[in-house]
Amino acid sequence: MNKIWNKFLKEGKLFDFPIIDIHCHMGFFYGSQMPYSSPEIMAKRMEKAGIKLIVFCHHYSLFFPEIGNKFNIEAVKKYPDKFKAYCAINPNYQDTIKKDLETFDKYSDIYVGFKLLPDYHRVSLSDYRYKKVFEFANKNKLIVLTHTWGGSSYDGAEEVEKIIKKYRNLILILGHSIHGDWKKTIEIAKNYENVYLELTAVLDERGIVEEFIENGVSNKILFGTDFPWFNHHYYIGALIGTGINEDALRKIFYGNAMKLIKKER
Amino acid sequence: MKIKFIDTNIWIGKLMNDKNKISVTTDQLLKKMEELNVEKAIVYHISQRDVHPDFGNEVLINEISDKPNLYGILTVLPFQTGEIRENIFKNLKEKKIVGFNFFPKRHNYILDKITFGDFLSYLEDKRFPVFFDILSGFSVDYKDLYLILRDFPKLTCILCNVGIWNTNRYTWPLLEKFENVYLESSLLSLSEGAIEETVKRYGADRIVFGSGFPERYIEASILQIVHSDISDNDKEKICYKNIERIIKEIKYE
Repeated sequence: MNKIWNKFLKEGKLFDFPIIDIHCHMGFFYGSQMPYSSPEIMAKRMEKAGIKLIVFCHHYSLFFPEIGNKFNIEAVKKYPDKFKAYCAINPNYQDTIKKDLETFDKYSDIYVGFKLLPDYHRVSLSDYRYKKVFEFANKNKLIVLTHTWGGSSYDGAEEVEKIIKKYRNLILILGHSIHGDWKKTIEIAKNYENVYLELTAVLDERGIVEEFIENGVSNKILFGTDFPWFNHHYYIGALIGTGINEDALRKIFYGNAMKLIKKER
Repeated sequence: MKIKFIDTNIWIGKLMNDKNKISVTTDQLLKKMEELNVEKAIVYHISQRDVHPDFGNEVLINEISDKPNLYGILTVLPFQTGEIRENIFKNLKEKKIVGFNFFPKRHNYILDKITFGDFLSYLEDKRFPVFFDILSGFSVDYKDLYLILRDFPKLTCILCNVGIWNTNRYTWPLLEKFENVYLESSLLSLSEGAIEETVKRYGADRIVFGSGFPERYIEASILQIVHSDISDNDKEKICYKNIERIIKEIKYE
């Protein structure tokens, strides 16, 4: 068994493994109980697993249109060294998007980019209602994290390709790596420089990350957990359990994300 | 703290469609267990689910017979059709059989009092645990389980693969009402805070360690439990003491 496993098993965290979780949320959610979802508890839990930084979007910002990004901004202001946020985009509310884009620069220390949930908001990635966001992100070389799921008409592989063919300057993170459409995911990661694969819901099945690595895309994979949906130690154990080498582990746990965040900022 | 582990949620054998290359042989499993200090495992053979229970049960018994750290779970079908040979139920202790499972959605029958009344009463009386795989879609869903437990409230149930999203809204009412319901830990470990909050509310006595291997990683379940915010005593209960107690309570013929 590799030495990284033994160290994590003993210590729970490693000081030379400053893990970045690129896909997180915050707050309660209608579909399930999330007991540890307040900013205070999340900050404390991160320390336990050696998570240096999380990039999140609050559930209320995504699901409650009237509230906007208030909770995202407040949480980052409270924990500026631990949290960065994605500006929530609900394409069904164009006035809010207009306002968020106009004020985006004011929150450059809060946001790294945008979070899209096409399956939930029932708007396809290529729909005109996302256009302003993609143009803005492309112009400013920002990160866009979008939920993706294999077979979805809103955010499946076909929709993803329509966007990346058009916008080559933004950084597109595929949340859940177009779950289930693994061959296409690998093809997209190989063919498009500005696309990255994120691991939430990928690591709860053996064999997928192993296939990504075999296909040479370790530079394009980012560690993500949907925290506080899922537990960091569970996902850390799973990633180590793939048996991939230390170099690839370091890239996925923090190296690849660090480059993107530095580049973007 | 070094903890002993007994994994209650593993299958062995080759899947007929193994697109993610996850299947494991018994020897590969034993090697993995040794690497991770997993002392014992309770397993079923995938052919019990995907080929035929009667055939698979025999494969399982043969596979584990000379492996001292592997214990088995038998799969049954409605006895009315006579597909399960009766001799399989002889010498269960010697065969290291420590429970049963059912795949009604895979094997096309209804798991209830009509089909299995006598057998479920027998299991209840003899305190044989029934391992229910919730997530796979091949066994039972929560609604089925609620109905089964209304009829057999003392049945010892181990709910495996409880669900990907936090399932406390489904499982906690069962823990509250039925004293012999236990949760297998792997997907509790996946959900942030589920182990800690379940222990806080219902005690560590109601959880048994499992991984879901080879579909999921044993390392994931181990790392979460080892570093969870519960006492060392509670970790020991979850990791091996509870399942040892459950097995000890089985009243073999």
